[in-house]
Amino acid sequence: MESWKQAVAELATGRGIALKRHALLLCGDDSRAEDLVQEAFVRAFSRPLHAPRPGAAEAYVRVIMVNLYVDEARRHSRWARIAPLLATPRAAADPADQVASRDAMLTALSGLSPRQRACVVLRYYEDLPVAEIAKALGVAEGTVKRYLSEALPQMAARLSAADRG
Amino acid sequence: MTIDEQELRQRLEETAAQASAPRFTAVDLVRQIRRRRTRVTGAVAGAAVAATAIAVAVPAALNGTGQPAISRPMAVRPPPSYSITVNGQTQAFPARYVITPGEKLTIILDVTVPAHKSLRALWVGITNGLLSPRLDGPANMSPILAAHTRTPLGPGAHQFRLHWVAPGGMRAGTSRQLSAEWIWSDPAEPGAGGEWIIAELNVPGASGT
Repeated sequence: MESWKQAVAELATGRGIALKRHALLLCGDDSRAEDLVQEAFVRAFSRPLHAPRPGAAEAYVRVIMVNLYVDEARRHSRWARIAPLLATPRAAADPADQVASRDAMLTALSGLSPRQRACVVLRYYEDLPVAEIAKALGVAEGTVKRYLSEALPQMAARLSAADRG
Repeated sequence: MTIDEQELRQRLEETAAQASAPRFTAVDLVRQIRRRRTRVTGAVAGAAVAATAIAVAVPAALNGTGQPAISRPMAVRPPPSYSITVNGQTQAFPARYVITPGEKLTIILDVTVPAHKSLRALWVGITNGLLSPRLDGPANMSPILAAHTRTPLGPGAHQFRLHWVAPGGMRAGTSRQLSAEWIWSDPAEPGAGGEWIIAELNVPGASGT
């Protein structure tokens, strides 16, 4: 089997669910997360001269996923601005605490800008240091810190409101 | 209002865990990737070359060492062959060069058109990861360093001398590609051609990018 096919097979089989979880936090929707992961795979491996190095494939796919998400969100920025206003808290209709908690978190994330959201996911879910987040997003470290410091109070307010309600 | 980072991590974990199992399989992904690879390097078919393409370079030298004639259908037609020298370093195709942001590159590109064939048009330029052959010329090539579109490029070797300055803002770990797009001059298959990455120009530094 060609090496790139082997890498795709190993990554998809062994880390597919982890990548999809990451994607879900980024885009907030299960089927979009599925598309995001697949497109990231295709982008990562479709250039024969620029395929990820062995051992770095997962990190490469994750970075592509983040940038795809940010780019897509930028293209649909108008919709993204009003989407949080239109979002209905599904937790209210769902009795399961776990689902309510998930929806509260997704609602809190959806109130952030795409880059803020990417920073939160990379920092607090992926545990990446600020320097690596900055490199992945192509921004300065100070910008990442600013995004995080702006995002956390917003999330805290939304989560607190959801927990009270 | 603040949020405890530990709690945030835990809640993100719980939320992420709600993702359903992936529906894609490795076989699906390989199929999609192969399709995209084919599209990237595949043949262009269809309409004629746009006459508005701007010629910015003309072959500097000609001599007639053509490859053996092979007459086959379009799908297996031998493409033009390329050899490349960047700032005095010659590499075999496909080439990889390490560059630095702001570096001035002098590129000498030898294009060999197979015997008994000719190119109706040839563009050489810089791409940024995306090749998309189109019927009316290169879509994602910026800048175009050479365009030979006014007269057919006959069989044999043709040399192009190109200059490009790597953008000063290129980040570590990023790359550009020197790519060529061509249209065969073949009345039986108007518009048939292809696009290839000739050389990868990498700014070293970041892992995995």
